[in-house]
Amino acid sequence: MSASPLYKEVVFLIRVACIQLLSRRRESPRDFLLRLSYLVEHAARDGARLVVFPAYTAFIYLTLAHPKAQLYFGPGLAQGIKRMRSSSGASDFNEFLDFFTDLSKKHGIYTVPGTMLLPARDGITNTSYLISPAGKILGTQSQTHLNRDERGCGFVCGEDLRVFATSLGDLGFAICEDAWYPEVMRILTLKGARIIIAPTAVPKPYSMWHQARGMWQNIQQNQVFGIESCLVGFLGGVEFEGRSAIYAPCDMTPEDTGMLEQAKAPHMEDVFTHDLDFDKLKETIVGFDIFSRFNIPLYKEWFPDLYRQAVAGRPQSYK
Amino acid sequence: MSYLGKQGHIGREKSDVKFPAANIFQILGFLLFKGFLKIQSRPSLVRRILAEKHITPSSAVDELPESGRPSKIRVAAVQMRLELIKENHARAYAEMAYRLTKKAVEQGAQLVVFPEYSGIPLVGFIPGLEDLAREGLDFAAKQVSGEEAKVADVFRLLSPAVRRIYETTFSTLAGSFRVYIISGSALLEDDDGVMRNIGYFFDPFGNIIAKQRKLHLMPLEVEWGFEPGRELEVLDTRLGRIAFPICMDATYFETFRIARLRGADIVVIPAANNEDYLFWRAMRGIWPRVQESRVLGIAAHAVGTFLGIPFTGRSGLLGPLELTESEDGYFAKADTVDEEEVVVGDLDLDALYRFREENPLYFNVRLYDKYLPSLYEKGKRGNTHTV
Repeated sequence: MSASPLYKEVVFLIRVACIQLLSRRRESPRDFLLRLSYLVEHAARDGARLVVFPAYTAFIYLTLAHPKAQLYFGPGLAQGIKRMRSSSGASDFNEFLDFFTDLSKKHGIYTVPGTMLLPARDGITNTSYLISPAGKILGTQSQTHLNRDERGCGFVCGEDLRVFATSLGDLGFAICEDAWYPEVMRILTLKGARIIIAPTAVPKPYSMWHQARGMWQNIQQNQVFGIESCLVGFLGGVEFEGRSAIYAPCDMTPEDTGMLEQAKAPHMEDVFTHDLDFDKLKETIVGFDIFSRFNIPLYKEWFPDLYRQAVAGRPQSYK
Repeated sequence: MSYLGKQGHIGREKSDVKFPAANIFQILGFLLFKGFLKIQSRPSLVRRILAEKHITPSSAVDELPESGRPSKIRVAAVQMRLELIKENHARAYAEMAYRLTKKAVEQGAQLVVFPEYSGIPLVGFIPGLEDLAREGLDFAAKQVSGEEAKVADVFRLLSPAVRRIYETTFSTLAGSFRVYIISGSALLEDDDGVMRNIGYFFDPFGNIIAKQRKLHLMPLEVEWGFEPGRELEVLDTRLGRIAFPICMDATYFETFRIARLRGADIVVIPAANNEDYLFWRAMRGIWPRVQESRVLGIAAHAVGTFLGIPFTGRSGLLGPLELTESEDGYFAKADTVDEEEVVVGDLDLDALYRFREENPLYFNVRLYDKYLPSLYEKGKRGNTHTV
């Protein structure tokens, strides 16, 4: 799907919801889905037209549905996912997606059901879905940058960044580690994205500075909106913490924080909504468009060759 | 008063200058002014002023290895107050730079960094500028250099004099104290005749080892008639591999990414933010750049109100969160955002290398191949400047 041709066609004030989801170790799959539907209903009642869940939301469901599969973050994860998928995991996975397409349709809203771990040729991808208010899957986006731990789990990179044209405006995804690589949001914004969705899961302890060096600063340097939805609690042997947030450029947020709304605490479930004011965003950009001062000759001289040279002889890592 | 008249064009120092619309008194006034500038900016004058200080050379740089990178270096970020120098320009400027450098060297600094626009106090060579600037710098420029003039033209007029004082001051200080100095920047006429914001790097012998032209300009600088540079300098020094882009360059991740990928371990940002201090706004520059590119950073800010424009900032020494005791990315920072200070501290290169070893960057080169740099030209905002 290509990006919408003109920014001016989009709605100028939209309400979005961010879910900070608590992963519980003992919960039936049915109760988990009930909890998700309650959270979506809460957001929809509050007027949200887009609801975003954190990374690994579908993985929680799989671990609850298959407690004996012993799915832990670590070297065996990719194989475990593949094994489970080849048994009854595939139907569980489809059930989970169907559950969300139904929710989207029921409430007439866009949903992002976090991410799912999907088998790929050389491992597994961490992949997000965008579901339309008609309950249609508009597309997927896989995480494009992986850290050492994720690589150790058998994750493989997505190889493209897509921008989805929606009635809310053009959307792009920065999944987990992607939010800490500035190339991702630069590419997405240059492709026309005005809202960046970041389903995230960061192991504890929570650090506001680590969060700031990810989504917060990328929102600032690209002058777009951002929705970062964090996973909290235990999953796959790891404890996660985070404070979900809805971001905007500093100039258009109260007290210049760059945050429109944030979860109350880094370890508990939360759901909150906020309006994204595209008129204000436009004013901010007209006031000073960071992109208008690119030094393109400089970038042309060095990109992308410098990346290639930097990783030459290494497995795409740069120390 | 205009030194050149309506059609006047400020000539370069060695070129023939024609002033069709300027009357004889204006031409005479202009020539007299240029003569005055030349006398007042004699390098020998600056050297004599600094010789009076009987500067004792530091031995701090001797501790650095002759080859290979050092384990640790001690650096200073000068938070300098911008004040218009109205008389005894060379003396006032050299003494101000001496005083600040001395403070840094006394604390063991091997590298002293001054802020962006550190050369701007010398614009006080223009008589009555403070009064003219009350109506705005554009108005002042027109009064000084004619109706067609831009602010850059005023700096062009002063450029030869400012360059002489600026270069001689910092070269003498670096050579006398025997330290490296990144002198911040001055608004100067470049070798190709274009007006640019230019930073300087001096070695402990007083040699200019590199000049860095600001690569990303503020809209106001463009309006004033300045142009960006094209090259990012990355230098091998006894302090390690260093880049020193300027202020707004830190708004763009591309600057630091290029520096890092070309081997920079330390990126220095001389800065001058002309706005009231707001914490989160101020966090948008060097702080995220240091984090995402995993380098050590030095930020030296200009402060004070200069010709009615407020400058604020918190100078500091920065590194990846994981390396800083406070876990906020700062090894040391200024206590204030609007007072003169000298922040001195150590940058641990061994720790940086250990951190990088444990936390490598994993690039998705195939993804970048697809979009960079073509998207900068084809991208929606990049191409059309519209939203």
